[in-house]
Amino acid sequence: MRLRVKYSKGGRAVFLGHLEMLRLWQRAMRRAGLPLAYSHGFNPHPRLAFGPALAVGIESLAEYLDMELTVVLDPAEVKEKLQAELPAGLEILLVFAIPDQAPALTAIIDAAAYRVAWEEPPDPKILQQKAEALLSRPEVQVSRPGRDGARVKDIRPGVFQLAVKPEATLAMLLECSSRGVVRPEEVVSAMALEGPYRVTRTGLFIRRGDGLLAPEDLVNPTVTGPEAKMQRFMRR
Amino acid sequence: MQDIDWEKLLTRVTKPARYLGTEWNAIHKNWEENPVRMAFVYPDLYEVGMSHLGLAILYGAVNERPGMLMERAFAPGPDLEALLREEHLPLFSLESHRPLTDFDVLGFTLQYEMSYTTILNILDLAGIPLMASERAPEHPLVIGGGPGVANPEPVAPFFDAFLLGDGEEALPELLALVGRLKKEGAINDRRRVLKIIANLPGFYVPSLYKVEYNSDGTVATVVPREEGVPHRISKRVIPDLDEAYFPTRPIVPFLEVIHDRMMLEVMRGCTHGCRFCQAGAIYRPVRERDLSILLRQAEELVRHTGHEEISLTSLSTADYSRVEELARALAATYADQGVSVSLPSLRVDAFSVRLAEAVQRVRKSTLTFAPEAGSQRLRDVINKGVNEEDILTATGEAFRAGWQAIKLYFMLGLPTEREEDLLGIVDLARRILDQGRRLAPGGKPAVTVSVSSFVPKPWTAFQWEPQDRVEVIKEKQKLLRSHLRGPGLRFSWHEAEVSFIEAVLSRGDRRLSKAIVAAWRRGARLEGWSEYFNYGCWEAAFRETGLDPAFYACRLRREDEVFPWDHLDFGIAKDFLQRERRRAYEGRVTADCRSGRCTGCGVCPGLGVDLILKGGPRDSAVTGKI
Ligand code: SF4
Repeated sequence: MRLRVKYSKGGRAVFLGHLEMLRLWQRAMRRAGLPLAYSHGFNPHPRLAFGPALAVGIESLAEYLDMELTVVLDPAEVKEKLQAELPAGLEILLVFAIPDQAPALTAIIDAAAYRVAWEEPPDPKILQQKAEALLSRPEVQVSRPGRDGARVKDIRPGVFQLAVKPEATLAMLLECSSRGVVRPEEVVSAMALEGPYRVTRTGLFIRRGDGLLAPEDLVNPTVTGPEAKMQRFMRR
Repeated sequence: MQDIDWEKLLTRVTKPARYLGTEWNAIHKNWEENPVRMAFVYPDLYEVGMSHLGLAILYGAVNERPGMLMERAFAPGPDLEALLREEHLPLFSLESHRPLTDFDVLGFTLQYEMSYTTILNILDLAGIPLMASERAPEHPLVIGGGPGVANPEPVAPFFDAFLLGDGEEALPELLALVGRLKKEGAINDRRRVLKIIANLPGFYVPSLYKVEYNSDGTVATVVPREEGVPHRISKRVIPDLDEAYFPTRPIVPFLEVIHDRMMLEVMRGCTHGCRFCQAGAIYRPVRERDLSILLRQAEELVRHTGHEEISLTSLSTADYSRVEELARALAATYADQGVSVSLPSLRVDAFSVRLAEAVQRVRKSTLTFAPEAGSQRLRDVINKGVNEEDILTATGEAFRAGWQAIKLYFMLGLPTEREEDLLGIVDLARRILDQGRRLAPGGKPAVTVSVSSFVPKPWTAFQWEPQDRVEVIKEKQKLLRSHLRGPGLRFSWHEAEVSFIEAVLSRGDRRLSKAIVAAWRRGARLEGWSEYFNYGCWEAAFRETGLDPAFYACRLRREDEVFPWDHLDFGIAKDFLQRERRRAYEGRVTADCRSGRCTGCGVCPGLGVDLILKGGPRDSAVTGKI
């Protein structure tokens, strides 16, 4: 059976990279006695698939993971057993079954929400001005280091929304899909904002018209209500 | 920890997962409730240290006792070291992220000579004086253990005490003593504390011993400086491993470490008696674990770690009396949980290959054998107990079972070695390659010859022998390289200069501590990694301190010479080693004492212990000890 897990990543666990997470979940599952399915073939690998990559050092309130088990189990039981085997900083928020044919997380998720908080909060008015200024620009060029030198890219189409929140934090909704990814640091530096800050990923979404669906909204209406109850990012 | 934002620091290093301390099964004991605190310091990077069984054993053995706690620390990566130095921050423990100076005891494990400069670097990063004599009462007691204490003299001035032999009982005893002294308010009288420790069985306090030298530079005597200090210190031995603590909840690292697997220690010690091998000598006698206990420990390990591989560890696992039953049972029990079984130390024989075949489901890796020498004459000299037929039967079995790649370990520069012995390596490698082509037609057999350089070690029959000079080793490597060319053949070798420094330090005396300090000051550290080893540091260090490294490494020692480690007792009798050395020159092999005939090494009667064999189908009872 296929299960989708939503979890948060905080504390010292933010320092774990993709490979470490892969090993950690596999071992947690073995400890929990949850039989993970493996691919067939010469070099079998576990049927464990993560959502979009999260940079090391960034906290997240909404990470996703798909797993395939060789047996059928109650998702609530999986949640409980698995949580007991996870190291500090990882907390399972939801576990729900998904159809065998459901598309992969990376095939459906196309937007990521972030919150940026500065150690010394900037003036909210200035922040607001800068956010508006960026959104009004027709293009925002950033340079990205690559294997054959830096490449210039226009990130403006991938900046979906920017909003100033209480305590002078900045909420961002950025493209995060197989077509392109905009990183929160790129936006912060394009806005010419200074000073040490902390980024938290607050959600991963599927854009539907004007609205946003979280992966759990899409496949498990009982969790957060029917699709009609699309929640807008700005109200979160 | 209070004022330092470690998490912020960790955002600036490349592998922060080394320093988190929140791995699964890491133990975070309450600081206030456990008044005796020790940090186990592995003087190398996390990935090396977390592959070490000794750390897992002692971490568990101490932490399961009330009133004491143990945390871990490792050498920082060069990037973290630079940050710590730049920001003037002390090196910290992983669990509570406290400076190492907050602990009562720092325990370093001496696994290899090339970590000695890293020990100094860690002391320096922790803000602790390098010299034990310069430490104040508020500094932690710095102790050392592990195979390096077979001769700890070159690092003796940096340590307050060493623990000889098995630590799982001795270390908690020491910590209990420290706790008592702390409670009595006596811990600040360092001199008194050290004298009390010197009287704990297995503990050696080097500052309480005086070394005198002869005019030719050799050691004349090592004697206690005062009354009430033992003349000779015997190693500690756990007589029966079945009664000993074993960690079945070891820490599961986040990062991929060097030996990334569960370790099941099937036995301790080795009876083969290879004449170059120090581990085979200092871990005697052989003590096997009971099969039923091992099966239970394996079950707990899998349940508590979730690891995908379980390794049957010991110095020579194929010797374990019940190895076949054990390996087959584990492979059968855990296959459907995706847990594989590995055998890291195979013998050169068909039995070992069949065993590997039985447990390996996916046969894509290399099979490794260690014939150690290229001719029968030289294999007899070193008492390897393997003949050409054994080797070819083993490799033939491997090819037939589907392995394509064979790796062979040899040692270069062994006593009495001649050119034909080296050419014997070439010949053997070629014959194995031909055999592979014959037995696995259509396949692509590959033979890798990996050659290390002989390092004479204390407590072995070859402790009197000189090491080849660096130029000679290089010549020999060149000869092998020129012959081991062609499709299917690969050749790798160890850096001659590294082996030379190892040879200097392994049989060195206290005067060498100055050279270690000088090399460290010139930047030597993390020298187990070839990218960090810098011979120039050592050349300059010897020049600066006026010490002649060849005196230690390349000198033939007199039969009656007093060695810097003669006041230590690992049970092996010096006259047994002399006898073994003579037999080596005569090309006479000495039987394995596992077969039931004691060869009189002295360990069992000397330490009041016994071989413990678990009476498998291939063993006869041990009788007739001398
Ligand atoms: S004393 Fe005898 S039986 Fe014991 S380890 Fe030595 S050789 Fe083997």
